[in-house]
Parts: sequence; structure tokens; C-alpha cells
Amino acid sequence: MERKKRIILAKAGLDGHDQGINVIKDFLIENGYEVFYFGLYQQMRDIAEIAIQEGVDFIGLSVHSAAHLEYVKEIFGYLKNNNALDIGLVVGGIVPEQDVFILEKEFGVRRVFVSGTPEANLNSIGDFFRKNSGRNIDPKLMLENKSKNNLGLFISELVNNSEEASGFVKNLLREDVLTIGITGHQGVGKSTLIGHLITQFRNLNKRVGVIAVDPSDCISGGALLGRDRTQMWRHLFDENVHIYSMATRGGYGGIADTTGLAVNAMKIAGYDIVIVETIGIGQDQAEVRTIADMTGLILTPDIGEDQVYKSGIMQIVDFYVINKTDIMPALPLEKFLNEMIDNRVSFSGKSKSRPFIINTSMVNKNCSGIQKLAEKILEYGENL
Amino acid sequence: MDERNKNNKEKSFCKKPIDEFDYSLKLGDPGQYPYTRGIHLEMYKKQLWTMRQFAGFGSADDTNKRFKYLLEHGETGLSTAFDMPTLLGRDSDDLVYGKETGLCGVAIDTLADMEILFDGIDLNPPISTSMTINAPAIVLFAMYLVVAEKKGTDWKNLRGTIQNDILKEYIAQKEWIFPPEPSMRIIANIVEFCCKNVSQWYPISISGYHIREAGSTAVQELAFTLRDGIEYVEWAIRAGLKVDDFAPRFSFFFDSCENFFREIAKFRAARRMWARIMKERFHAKNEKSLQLRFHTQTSGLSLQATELENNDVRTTSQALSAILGGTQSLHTNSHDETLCLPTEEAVKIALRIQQIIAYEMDITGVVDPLGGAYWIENLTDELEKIAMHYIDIIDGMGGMLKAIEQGYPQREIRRSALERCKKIATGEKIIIGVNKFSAKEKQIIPVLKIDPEIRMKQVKRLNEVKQKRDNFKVKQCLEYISCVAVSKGNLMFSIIEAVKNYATIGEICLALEKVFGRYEEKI
Repeated sequence: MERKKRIILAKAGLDGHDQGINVIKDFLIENGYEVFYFGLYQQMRDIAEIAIQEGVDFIGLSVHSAAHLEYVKEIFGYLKNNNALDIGLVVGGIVPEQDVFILEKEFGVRRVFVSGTPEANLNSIGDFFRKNSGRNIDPKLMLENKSKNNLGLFISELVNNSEEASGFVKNLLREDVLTIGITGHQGVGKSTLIGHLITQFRNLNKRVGVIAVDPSDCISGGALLGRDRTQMWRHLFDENVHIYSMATRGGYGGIADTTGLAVNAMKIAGYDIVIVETIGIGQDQAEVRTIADMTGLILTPDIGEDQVYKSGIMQIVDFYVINKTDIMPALPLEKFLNEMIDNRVSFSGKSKSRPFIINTSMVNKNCSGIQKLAEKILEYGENL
Repeated sequence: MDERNKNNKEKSFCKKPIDEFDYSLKLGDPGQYPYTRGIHLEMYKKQLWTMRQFAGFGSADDTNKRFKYLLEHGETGLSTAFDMPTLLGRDSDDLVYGKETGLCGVAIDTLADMEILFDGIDLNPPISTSMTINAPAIVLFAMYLVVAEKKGTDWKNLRGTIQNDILKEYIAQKEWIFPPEPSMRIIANIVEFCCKNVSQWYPISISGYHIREAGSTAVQELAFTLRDGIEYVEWAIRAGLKVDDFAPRFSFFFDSCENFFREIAKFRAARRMWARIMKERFHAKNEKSLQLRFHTQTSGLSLQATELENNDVRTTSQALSAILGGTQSLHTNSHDETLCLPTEEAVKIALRIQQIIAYEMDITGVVDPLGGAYWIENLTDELEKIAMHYIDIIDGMGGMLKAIEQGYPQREIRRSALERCKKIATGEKIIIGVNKFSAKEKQIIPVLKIDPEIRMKQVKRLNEVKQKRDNFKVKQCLEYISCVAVSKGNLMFSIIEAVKNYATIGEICLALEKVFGRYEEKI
């Protein structure tokens, strides 16, 4: 598979002029790039930190508020402190020629696209991203220094099918690391649940890695990534949490072909628990089981009895979470699930033990059920 | 729904002025329903449009100087540009965003700044003041009222406009604070207050400008703006006001873009559509309720950053279409706005463009000179038809708030913007000096430098105000604002009281946010 570039786009500060950045975002996705965009009013250190964790090739910053020097300086400083200055910085918007010079010379900006000039059109922007590759890549670095920057970059290499990088992790076995697959349909609250699970595991002083998988565009091959992160934003600057978003890139069953390798990379980097969040899946997409030690299916209470007995993902997971119990009582579904489990002759999970069911609700501050879920997961993991 | 690319199918000329045409139904004389030809019988013969240049940068002192400069050079109305923190209801000492203080507009934190901003300027007619402020409009308006009161100007005499159009913020300009419902309630409060106390003031300027500048087509600008207008009328009626009491005080704000004839037709279509909407949909009786009054700004999007002088030519033709379209006031862009806030030199040329059109071209003696021409009438009909179709779609969704929630107008605009950019990239849409006859050498021009100490100075002044004021009183005022926000009362009075006691814009917006919450956009 060809090397795909990952680009994080951001609007700086309070500026609401997002016509340009939206056009660029749509254009890049249409042209097969994987793009992160988190909307208006982002803080620059957040963007820089995400760029580092996600191992992106470029940061594209759009500024129309005359504050370009201030914001670029902030990103530049953050990247410098984290040894990530090889991430290509690109600026677009209203920038006088004098400042273009400063941006390029002082802050190493690769290219400034000033709107209203011949260069600032979609063709030249497309050319720029096609011809330039961002980063200094040496997968071996990751083995020496397991910084977030090196890990992010390393996983990006894996995702791009680098043979050198995958050579280091392909045959890795680390049984002391627990890998949890979290799957379920679109909109059942997987990301929010994982956000709270991270908190629970962090309370127990576990280092947590997350691989969040998003769908690729079936036609262009591009993707909008990182929407799941917004539910986990509060963990952004926790040095013991690393979140990486990847696109399926044609992978089957709700994950990418390289997701397993990425899990291994997180293991090498010293994370105690790795959580894999699949895309919103259909009934027969159970591929995450092949890379996770245990798999949980997130459901909502409105699922009927007839769905419970269907083959596929429903029958083969290690635990069920009935989420959003604030909308509807979980009891009927819980009863159906228990009956279904009781009717089974054997269990397919790694531990061969009976799957457990937890009810959760994320609306109030306490997040009912989440602590129990975390405890049960760890207990189950002990027995593997 | 795309109104472009149809031109080829149309006739390039026509023997008769117009094929089949009912004059009184479609046009009427100027000053007569449906006002297609203009809202006054004599238009510019009796009174020229207001020449109103948008200005604001740095501190209140800097902008006050620029105001006086413009007035000296023959400007007839003031128009205030606020900086980003002010537009979003934050103070200059904001830890995260304070660094944007004064960069692309004037920084206002408290009444003290507002007093300096209008220092030495008589707020009585003929001066009218426009303030481009939306989410925190109620705070800035309150400050203006208190400044006027201190100068001894009667509120009844004040003339001007606050933009105060939050719907287009969600749709296009993206500078919001509170969620849509409480925002609409604040607007209804201001409208109600103005009807009773500041009767010469336009409490809202329903804006298509930002929709167009975000990349929409002319017809989308027209449709979404008028549909926003309908939404505001509905909210004001729901707040218990009578349509003929407030509708005469609604004003509009349109873009004048590069397509010369289509823009003229757009202004004409807007007047006809609004008159019909007000008459048929809201049964307004007062003829002032049926008349669409509007301010126009030439298009910033059409300006380029190469060969800046060309921008003055673009602006001239756009200004001309606004005037042939019957605008009530006009802002002409300065040629260096693609690089920075305008320099004094550039803003003078921009103002001169208007003055040359007004005084040298001899076109002010005639009203709607293009009316009746085959092409203009054709375009006017076409724009009206497609725009009405959009309005029907939004009605079908349950109104503009629902449509915004579903991302409908946002999506439509994004699609048009992407199309426009692709056409520029392929050269299908020609831009001189950019994708045709393109300029080779780079220009380094002198740009307006904002005082680098601006933030420090502003924070210093803010701290001085905070030390001098009665902080206990301020706290009481802020708590009272939150109380009124919870109740159904009119927020205007509580905010005027807080402003008088030098509460900051950030403090007041926070007091409201405690009750209303903050809006977040779905992507």
C-alpha cells in the first residue's frame, strides 16, 4: 500500500474565518489524505501535542486574525521542546510579505500560502503536500527513546507498512500487557466510555495506550480522523496516556490491518493496558478479537430480544456493557443477555469463562458502573 | 439549485425590453410596493447613501483618531470594528486569548474604553454609528447608551445600528458565545428595548455579507439572509411585540461581489421578496415594515494579495453595483485589506471611490436606471425563484434554528465554497493577476503596524478601572444579571446598570454564560 500522509489542520485562536480551512479539509480528504480537524477556538499547545502523539506529517494552521506570529511561535516552541521540529508547519491566511519572511526564517515554517496570491490555490496546495514529506524517520529511535514523539512516528510508520518498523514488533509477545477491544455500533458511546475507563485505570496507576480506529473513505481513501479523541481530551497532557487514531485503510472487520502491530508498539513503549476502539461495526465484524486479549461489546438498552440470539459479534465477546441506562432501564436487555449466555454450551473467549455484563451511564459526574467495569476487566485479565 | 452555468442557455440580447411583464406587480414605481426599484421615490436625489467605513484597531485612542480622520475626509457615518476578544465577550487580560487584543479591531473592556472611543465626537444626528458586534451586542450597546447619556444626548435622538445577528454567526461567521435559543432571546430583548427607548436605532442588521464571504453563491446569500429575517420577526412576535412596531427598525447588510449585473439583481430581488414576505406572511400594514433597508460592503473575498492596486478597480465596480442596486449605506474596502488592517492612505482612496461615484459620475439623479432591462429583470426573477425555493426547504425543516442544528445552511455554503476554490484552481473562474496574467514579482508594501505594547497598555488600563470602581456594587450587578437571565425579564436594564458601574464585558458575558451555557459546533 502507498504511503499516506497524515495532516492536522487547525484554526488559531478566536478567529472564526473557517471557509478556507473547511475547503482544504474537504479537498485533502477527497485526495486521499488522512486529516485531523477539531473545529474553532483550539489552543496551540493542544494541537502540537496531538500532532506529536498522532505522528502526523504536517500541521496546517489557518490564521486570519493578524495573530499569526504569536500562534506559530507557540506551536514552534512546543514542537522544539519535544524534539518534533521535523513536523512540517504550513500556514495559510492573511499574512503580509514581511511576516512570511519571519515565519519561514525564525519559525521554520515550510510554506506560507497567502490568500489572494497565485500560489494559494488548491492545485499548488495539493502539489505541496504530494511532493513534500514531513519527517525524519528512523524507526530504531523508538527502541532507544520511548517518547511520545517517537512512538507516534513509529506507529505512523507501521500504519504505512514500513517493513523496517514492523520487523521490530511483528513477533512480539508481551503477556503482561492487557489488550482490550471495545466494539459496538455507531453512537453507542464507545469513545466516552473509554475516556472514563482511562480515568479508572490511571487511578490505579496503570499506563494506558489507546488505538482509535476510524473509517476510511471508500472512494478516495482519505479519512477524517480524531473525532474520538474529543471525548478523551482531558487525558491529552497525561504523560502516561497515549492516544493514536488510525484509519481502516481497507482493513476488514472494524479495524485496520496494522492495528495489531500498533498495539505491539504500545506494548514495547511500556503501556500496561492497551485499548483498541473499533469503528462503528455491523453484526459480523469481530476482527478485533484476533488482536485483543478480551473484547467488550457496548450496547444500548433499546436492543430487542430477537437481536440477542443472532450469531456474529453478539455471541463471541468476553463482556457486555449496557450503556446509556439513563435513557431506558437496562433490565430487560440484561435478562435476555443472561438467558442467551446461560443457553450456551461453551464460551469462545480466551479465558473460557462466562462473559460478564455491566450497566453504565455517563451522564452524571459519577458515571455509574464505570468503576465496576474497570475492576471486572482487570479481574478478568488476571485470569487469562 | 445552482444558479450559475445557466448563462449560456440565455439569450444574449432581446429586442423588446422585457418579454411579458406586469409592471405594477413586479416593479412598481420607486417608493411603491413591492419596492423592487427602491424604497424611496427620489432616492439619492434627495439624500445620498451614507458613506460608512468600517474602522477599528489597537486601543480606543487609536481608533478614535481614525474616526476623526475619516470624518474630516467627508465620511458621514461611523462603523466600529472590535477585536477578537471583544467579539467573543472576553477581556484583554484573558490568559489564553488576550494575545489577540487590539490586533484586528479595537479593544473594549469597560465603559472607560468606550468613553475614549467616542471622545470629542457628537453622537447627535447627522452622525450615525454602526457597531459590528453580535454575541455580546447587548453589552456594547449598553455601553454606547451610557456614553450618550453622559454626553447629554437623548436616547431618542441616537441613530445607528448594531449588527446583533447571531444566526449568521452559527451559519457563517462563527463567532458565538451562547446557544441559539438564549441568543435569540437576548436579541428579542434588545429589539423590545429599542422600540420603547431608542426609537431611531436599528437594533439588528440581518447580514448576508458573512454568508457570502464564507463562499456562498449570491442566491444562497439572499435566501439565508431573508430566512434569518423571518426567524427574527417570528421571535419578536413571540416575545409579544407587534410586527408594525419593530419591523420598521430592522435593517439588512449585503455583500457586493464581482458579478456586476447579478449583484444589482440580487438587491432588487431582496427588496421585492422582503416586501412580499412581510405583507403576505406577517400581514404587516405599515409601509416601513415592508421596505428592506440595507447597508452594503464590497467583497473582501474578491480582493487579491497580488497587484494590490487592482483591488481598487474591483471595489469601484462593486460599489457601483451596490449604488445601482439602491443601497442605503456603503463601505468600500481598502486595497491592502488582503494583507492587514487598512492603512490611512488606503482607506482614504476607498472613501474617495464612493465620493467620485457620488459627485462626479452624475448617476444620483435617476432611480433604478437598469430597471426594465431584459437581462436585469430576468436575473431578478431567477434569483427570487431559487431563493424562495431555499426558503421553502428551510420552512420545511421547521425554521432556521432547526436547519442550523442539522447543519443545512453550513453544508450548502461549504459546498459552494469548495466549488469556487476548485474553479479558481482550474482557471475556470478567472482572477486577473492570480490565475490569469499572473504577477511574477512579490510586493512588499507598508502595512499598518499595531502597537506591540497594545496588550500591556490595555491590561494596565483595565486594572486601573478595576481598582477605582466599586467592586462590591459590580458583584451585585453581575449577580442580578444572572437572576434576570434565569427569569423571563428584559436583560437590557440590568446590563446597562452593570456597565455604568464599569463591569467588564468578560464579567457580564460570564454572568450570562453561567445561566445560558456555551454553544459548541458539530463538525
